[in-house]
Amino acid sequence: MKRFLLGICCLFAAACDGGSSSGTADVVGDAAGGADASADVAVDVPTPDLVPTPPPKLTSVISVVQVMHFVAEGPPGVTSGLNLDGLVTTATDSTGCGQPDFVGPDGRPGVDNAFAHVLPPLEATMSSTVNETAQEAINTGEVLLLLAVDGIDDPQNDDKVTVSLYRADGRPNLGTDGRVLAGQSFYIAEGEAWSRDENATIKDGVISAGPFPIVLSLDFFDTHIDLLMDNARVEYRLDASGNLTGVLGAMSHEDTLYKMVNDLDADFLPIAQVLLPEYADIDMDGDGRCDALSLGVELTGASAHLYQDAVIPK
Amino acid sequence: MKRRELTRRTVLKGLLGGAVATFALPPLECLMGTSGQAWADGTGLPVRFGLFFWGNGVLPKRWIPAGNGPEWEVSEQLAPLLELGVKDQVTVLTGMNMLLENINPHWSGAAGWLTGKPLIDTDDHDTFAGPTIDQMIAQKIGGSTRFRSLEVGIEAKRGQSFSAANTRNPIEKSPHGLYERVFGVGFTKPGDEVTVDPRVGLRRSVLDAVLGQANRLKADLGANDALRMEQHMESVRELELRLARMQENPPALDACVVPAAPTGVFVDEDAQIHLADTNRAMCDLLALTLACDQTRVFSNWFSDPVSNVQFPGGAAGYHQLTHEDPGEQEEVHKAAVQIVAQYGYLVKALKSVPEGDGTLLDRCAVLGTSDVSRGLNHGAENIPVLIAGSAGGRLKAGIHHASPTGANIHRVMLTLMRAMGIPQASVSQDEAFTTEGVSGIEV
Amino acid sequence: MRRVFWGAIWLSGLLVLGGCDAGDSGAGDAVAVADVVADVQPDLPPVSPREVELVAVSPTMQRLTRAQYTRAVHDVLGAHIVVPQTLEPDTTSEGSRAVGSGLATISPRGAEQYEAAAFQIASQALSADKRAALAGCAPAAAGARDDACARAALGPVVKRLWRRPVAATELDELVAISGTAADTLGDFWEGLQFGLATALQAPAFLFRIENGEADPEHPGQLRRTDWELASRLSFLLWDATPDDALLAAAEAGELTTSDGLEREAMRLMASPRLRDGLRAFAEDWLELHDIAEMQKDPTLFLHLSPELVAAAKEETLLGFEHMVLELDGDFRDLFTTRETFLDRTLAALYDVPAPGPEGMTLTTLPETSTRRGLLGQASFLALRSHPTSSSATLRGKFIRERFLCGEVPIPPVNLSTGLPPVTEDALTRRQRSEAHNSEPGCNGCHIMMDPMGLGLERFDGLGRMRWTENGAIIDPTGDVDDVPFADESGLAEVLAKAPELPGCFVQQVYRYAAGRLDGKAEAELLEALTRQFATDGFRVKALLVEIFMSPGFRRIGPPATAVEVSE
Repeated sequence: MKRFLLGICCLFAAACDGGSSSGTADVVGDAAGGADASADVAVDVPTPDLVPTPPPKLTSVISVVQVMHFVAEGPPGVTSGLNLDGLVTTATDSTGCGQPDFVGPDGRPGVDNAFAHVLPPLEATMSSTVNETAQEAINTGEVLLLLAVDGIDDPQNDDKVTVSLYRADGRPNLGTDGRVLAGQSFYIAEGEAWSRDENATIKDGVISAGPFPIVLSLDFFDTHIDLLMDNARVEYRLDASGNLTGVLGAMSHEDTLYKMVNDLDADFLPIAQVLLPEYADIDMDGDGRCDALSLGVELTGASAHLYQDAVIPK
Repeated sequence: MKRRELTRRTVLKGLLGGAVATFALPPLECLMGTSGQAWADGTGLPVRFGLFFWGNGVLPKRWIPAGNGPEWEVSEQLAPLLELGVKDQVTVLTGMNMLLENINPHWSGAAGWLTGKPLIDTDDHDTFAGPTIDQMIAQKIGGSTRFRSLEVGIEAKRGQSFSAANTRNPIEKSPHGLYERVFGVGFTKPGDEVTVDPRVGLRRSVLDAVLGQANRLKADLGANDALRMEQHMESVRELELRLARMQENPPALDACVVPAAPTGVFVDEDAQIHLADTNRAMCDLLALTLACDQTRVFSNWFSDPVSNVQFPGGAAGYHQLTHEDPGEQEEVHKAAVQIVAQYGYLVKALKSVPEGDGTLLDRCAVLGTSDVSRGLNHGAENIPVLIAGSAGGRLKAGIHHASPTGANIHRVMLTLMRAMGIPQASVSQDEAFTTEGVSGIEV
Repeated sequence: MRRVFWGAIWLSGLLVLGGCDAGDSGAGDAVAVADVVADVQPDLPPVSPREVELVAVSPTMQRLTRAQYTRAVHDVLGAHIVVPQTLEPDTTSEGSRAVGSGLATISPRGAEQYEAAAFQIASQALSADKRAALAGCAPAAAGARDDACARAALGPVVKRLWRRPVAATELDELVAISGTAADTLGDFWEGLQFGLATALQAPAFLFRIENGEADPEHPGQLRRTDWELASRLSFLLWDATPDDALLAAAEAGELTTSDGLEREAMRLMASPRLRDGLRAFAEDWLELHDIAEMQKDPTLFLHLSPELVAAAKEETLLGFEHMVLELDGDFRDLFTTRETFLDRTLAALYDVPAPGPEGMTLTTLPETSTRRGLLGQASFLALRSHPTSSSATLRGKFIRERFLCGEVPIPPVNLSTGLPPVTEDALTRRQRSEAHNSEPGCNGCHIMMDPMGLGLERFDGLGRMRWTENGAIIDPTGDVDDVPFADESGLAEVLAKAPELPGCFVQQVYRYAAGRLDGKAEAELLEALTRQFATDGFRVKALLVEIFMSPGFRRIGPPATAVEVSE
């Protein structure tokens, strides 16, 4: 290790004596390696194109939903969700069935989210919050949603992309923050419902898809239920690291909800039949009576992949 | 209580078999079986040495306390000493400089300060040139207890305790492991009668055979390897001595309370160490280890030089912070305060064990120190030095001793060795050679 | 040819350090160059490494590593034995445990641990269901000594443990210890445990000791004995103690012949156990020993988990094994390949589709991936980083020292090492370190490391790809000794072609094989080995053959008479 010390000290001396830095290479070459080395001074290195490889242009992006955040009414009249019926209704509108639309946190009008009203009384009956329950369901893999965008030509503005919503299989790996870990791979759950919109769009980076029906199957108080939601829509945005933020909006017809309540506990059906119409805010069949409840959920997600041998439903 | 007759002979035989006089003779009262009475009033109680080391120094500007002598105020970084109620037992020395060559950042400081010798090779910090201060002391006063010394670590990966060049003493990083080692198999509560296991004697004969083999092999080895073999033999001899201890009845000790095994999780599933919990458990065990006279010398390597120990809430690891925390280095400061709190806990743990007329701490000197003064520039001037306890009245406790002109830090080494009753004439070498201690803290 | 560049570094370092000042000898001390920067010079006369004239280096005794100790116990006494994990830690020197094993002693704590382990192992080896098979005899009476049976039982076992014939007096001592213990405890088998535990604590087991013998081909000089060659071969290729066949070859005097040595070496190389040896080398070469204890801030690195860390190490080791065994390829491809072994945790970190849900599987990263080879692996990227951030300097330093065998001077003390804070003008680490390196005294050394390390800045402190830092786009351009590259992929390609790379690798393998740093006298041998390596297509297996057939492996110097503390 130390044997070159002497040589280096000589180098120092020589360099200083020379008093010039232009002769450095020769001086050093001689001292360190002999004639061969100094002969190699002028190596012509072709200068390659020094443009770093940019982030890959992806034509397909898959995200996994890490958090589904059900929101109650924040400031009066404000909550998250999407305008599912295309209407902006007030308390006195006949089309709104006495349920005024919300304004989104971003100021957008016409937000439909009847669940924002249901959330507080519902949580009063539960030992944990809806959001805790939802998080548990996500983290254990019970409700693991994948959002896939395919056919991207331009990640900012593209008037035709395909968005698919899948259920993923298995227990996810969690990160040190307790959320589903970014970048991991999944299989698409076999035999579970999936949804797809082949005419989704990207506008100013916001991916919009739907309406399509979705089925959320979950275990609720030890009972398995399949919650069918119609006219579901998603709007979300992906950042450079693949992190997803967005909103899922959907509605459920009262008959679907009655069936669900009946499956859970038939004793509650009469109560539900009294209560649900109070909250119904959408007139699905256009008969002038609101017969469906809307729902808005804030989504947070991260990049995900499918296993190399995963089967994608066609 | 019945005592075995041949205790002293057994020990002496072990010592003579060792052939090298590394171990001091044990205190006579221990061997004569009179120690029970002798220790009752505290006069026969042994002195103990402890080392608490952390890497990367402090922020000297916020470390040095105001005032001098017994009247001093804790600085920002020393505040935990006051909060933990141990300020009056801790002496702070400032202005202490490591005068040996300081070439290799961190490692020149650690090796030079702790051994009194520069690094063997300035490029290679993997080994020190000789024994570190804990081992210099252990080699003199450690011979009469079951363990000549104990080395533990909290965040440290290796610890820097060397019993000789190239002989690093591994550290125990698990409180469970320390408990098993000290209070598990082989431990007899002081005052209890030992159950003599015939296997112990047989194990000693095995070690005798190993020593014989090593001795024969040594003859054909090159000079370096012969030294290494000799070091191995030293280690085997020490083990043999420990086995000899296990055949003796330990004298009763009032202060000795056998602790329960530590409970708790000290490393989480991401391999991150729970620093304060681990330190607390280790220090509690060390205090009772001393009280039960299982050892008289210990070192607690909180972190190694260049360690990147990260405290909960810290912005980055300590080493990285010392180099990258901008401006006044608020983050470095916060970490330094946390480190002092760990040292303070050790002092408090020793203080909480009653012994003789006072506490265990009264008979200890616990050096708290680091490898550099300030991590940012690896300075060897004003290296932090704390000494807790008065070593049985030989040291002044609870003062601030400021050396305005910059004193040789190895004077502290000499003072500490003498406080342990070792008649040491000088320590260190070159610029750092000294025959004088720090008279200002000596009684 | 890169020596020229070195000169430039020294000089620039010198100028900024002010090292021209005659009074400043410290700067000179701090600087040293790799012992060997062996350029590949195809026009030089081809001297086979086997023919190089060598003044052989004195022996260095090596302490068994923990892995070697464990494997020896399993091989000789039974794979069922649980070897205590609390053995004396391995010693590291120059980052290498192999080199460290040539310095290691045994501490008091270590002696205690070896003693405890010896008895735990002996008791398992001689447990009621295993003792008959191991001993091959039964005592005349179970409750008393039986020296004949003890001798029969211990003889072959101790020979394998000690890797050499056991002298009659040595065996007598072990039999006597067993006999005394058997009588004392009233149990033959318990007594035998004491004899076996003695053998397990013996320096002949714990240390690999070499004395050599007169070399008939070089009168007045020494060569390694057959037994010593058996050990050296076996620990190099299998990281294990010699098997019975190898000991038989040693006993027959075959290993001191070229044919015999090559035949046995090729047998070991053909065995699946070569994997153990390759893994041990790769772990040492790439300093992966302590990866499990790596401290990282879990609030910043969400992917951190024990599974990930284990997988990261495994990826590197499996990749090395694959390159050497399955491909028998050019070792430089280790730096550029996109083939690697991933499990689901590592694939998540790399943000690529995992090959499957279980285990590590060979997969090919996309052609567009700039993550390539060793430098793109999490084991390298995470270990050569800080707990909270990446480090271009640590990464560059490892490349400079371990792959190019340059030596980076230690930074002078009393030099402010602070990186400036993140500001509008300096958002990325490159920008901040450029500000730092513009300070006098910094650039001379950092130029040896940072231009390479900065090429990896798009990998964060755990090895995950990122494109921006504090909102600014990361610039991954740099150069390897003035050869520019555009990004991490370019760095891989440039490094793979760096002229120092093969010679440096040869030096690393040689040190590992020798268990010590190479000596001055071995420079010519290393150059010859490097030339041969090039001729053989840079294949690792071919290099191993040349090393163990070389005089550096077969010959040995006399014991050193003076204590050397430093070269």
